[in-house]
Amino acid sequence: MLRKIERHFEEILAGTCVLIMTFMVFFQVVMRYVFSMPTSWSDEIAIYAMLWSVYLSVSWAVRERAHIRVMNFINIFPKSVSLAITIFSDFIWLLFGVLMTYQSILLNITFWHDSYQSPALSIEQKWPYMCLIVGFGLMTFRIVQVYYLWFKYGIPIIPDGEDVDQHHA
Amino acid sequence: MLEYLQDFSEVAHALMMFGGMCLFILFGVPIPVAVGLGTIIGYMLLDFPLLALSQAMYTGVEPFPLVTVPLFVLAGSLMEQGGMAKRIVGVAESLIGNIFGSLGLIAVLGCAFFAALSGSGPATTAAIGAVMIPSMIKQKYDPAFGGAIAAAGGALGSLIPPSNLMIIYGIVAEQSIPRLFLAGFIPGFIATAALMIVTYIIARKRGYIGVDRTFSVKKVGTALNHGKFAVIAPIIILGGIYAGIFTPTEAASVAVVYALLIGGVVYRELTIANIIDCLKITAMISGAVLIIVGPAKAYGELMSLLSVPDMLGEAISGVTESPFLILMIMALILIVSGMFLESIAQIILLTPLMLPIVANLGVDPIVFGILMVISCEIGFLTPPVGVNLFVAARITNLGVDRISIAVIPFLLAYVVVLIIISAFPDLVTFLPNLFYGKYQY
Repeated sequence: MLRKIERHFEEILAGTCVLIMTFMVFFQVVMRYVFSMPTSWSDEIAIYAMLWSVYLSVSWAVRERAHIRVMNFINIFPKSVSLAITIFSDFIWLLFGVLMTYQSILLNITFWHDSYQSPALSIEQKWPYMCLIVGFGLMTFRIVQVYYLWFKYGIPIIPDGEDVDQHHA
Repeated sequence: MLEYLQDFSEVAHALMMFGGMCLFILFGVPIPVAVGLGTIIGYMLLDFPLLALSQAMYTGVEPFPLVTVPLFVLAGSLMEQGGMAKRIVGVAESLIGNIFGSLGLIAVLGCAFFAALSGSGPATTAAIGAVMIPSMIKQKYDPAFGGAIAAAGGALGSLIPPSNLMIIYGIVAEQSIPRLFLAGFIPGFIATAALMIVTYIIARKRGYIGVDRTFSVKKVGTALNHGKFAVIAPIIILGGIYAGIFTPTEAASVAVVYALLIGGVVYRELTIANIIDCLKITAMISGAVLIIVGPAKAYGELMSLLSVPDMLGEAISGVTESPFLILMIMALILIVSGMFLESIAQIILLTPLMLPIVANLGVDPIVFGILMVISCEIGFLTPPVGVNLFVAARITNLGVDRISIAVIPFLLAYVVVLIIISAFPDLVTFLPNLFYGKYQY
């Protein structure tokens, strides 16, 4: 059970967020044209859902190794060198993750001090802004996890790269 | 050390930001992270708080029109899995099935039709390619040629409205999205024609015969009737936008619900498992692609702060004053950078740098947007980061290298389209001006 949650945590939440987002925008259309009762709060929820789905997927994409990166330059080197460069760039990425998590926490703290509410729903902005902490925090965790799995079970850090490239708009 | 670097000029700061970013990209750091790191370099040089980057990560993804992008991605994948692509091909086949090399032509036309439903190039390649590539191979087409047709035709998905790239450009350049959509029609038509001509010439040379059917109005009628729900989808989506009924975002949500209804209830090809899959694909694309929006926004703002657009503008205007030539230079830069950058990243990063330069020369921002979209389409078709090539390679089971060679004639067709619209920008502005009145500078 715990393993299942670990495996699918982000994708389930992110997929749900996409569903909520779609529903909210369509709900707005229906309210306006069918019931002539336009709402403004549905847009706000749609945006929050998008933000959360984006930042949750950032972490999920680490798991799936679906992040867009240029490997062609690295791959001209011998295998051992390209592996070393990959580890180096992943380490930089990890540092970036730690830094962004930290900065997002700092940012969130400012919202705890000074109340900042959304116009339509009066939602305290500290809540939607948490997607940054959760997203970058989980991203950092997933990078560590990729390396943990490599050391412990020898699961390669870069799987077959080609089918990953389908994830573009 | 840092203080010493902080004393450098603006040019040096901009170069350090840019160089740092390029180096990280080269070393395989994911592109959004590399852009973020470039921004961090800039913040440190200018002594800005890094908190601002975190803030930009949020506010970058906050604009409401951005919701349109995942919505159209979702609609596209639902339509693909729900059996609309097949029926669209049926309509295309009934129209031109009797011509030489018709399967290739049907694939291009099918892509153009599907492009009017979908906002994404790779999705169009996937949808039409999955239907057409196997039947082309069955008719003894060279698989690489078939893959190249699907890849090149699929790129139309971004030019023929709706288009995710235009939405992104509209947000970054503060241009009206419906206006951009309308501007895509004529170039989209020209590009479709150009691709069909190339297909016809190659098919003729290699002796790929048609499906051997005679044209009849009756067959067209049957196919139209069979695919009627797919055919009226663009009318609902685009018609709704131009009749002023929906905003593009609302239209995208209507497209999702329409795709669900038709695929699930009418065609009965969508299962719950399919739908969940589509939701996940959409979330994944959001994560891997839209994450660039935040850092790229911060990066672009820093570049403007360092007055990079002015410097670049001066440098380029030293070379030439002709808008046509400058557009060509821009297109060249976009095509080269498009080999390495993902198209959305490219638009967000380069628009703030390039648009002020061309706008100063009196180029309509809408024209520049279309130029950018076509250049990005060429980027879809050039290795190493040519997404459509990867999609086509996956469907044909060939290496990306074979498809990227076979796609070259089509690539040239896009370059010709690029030259045509830069030389005659009225082709782009004609429809939007007709519909909305002339653009006010």
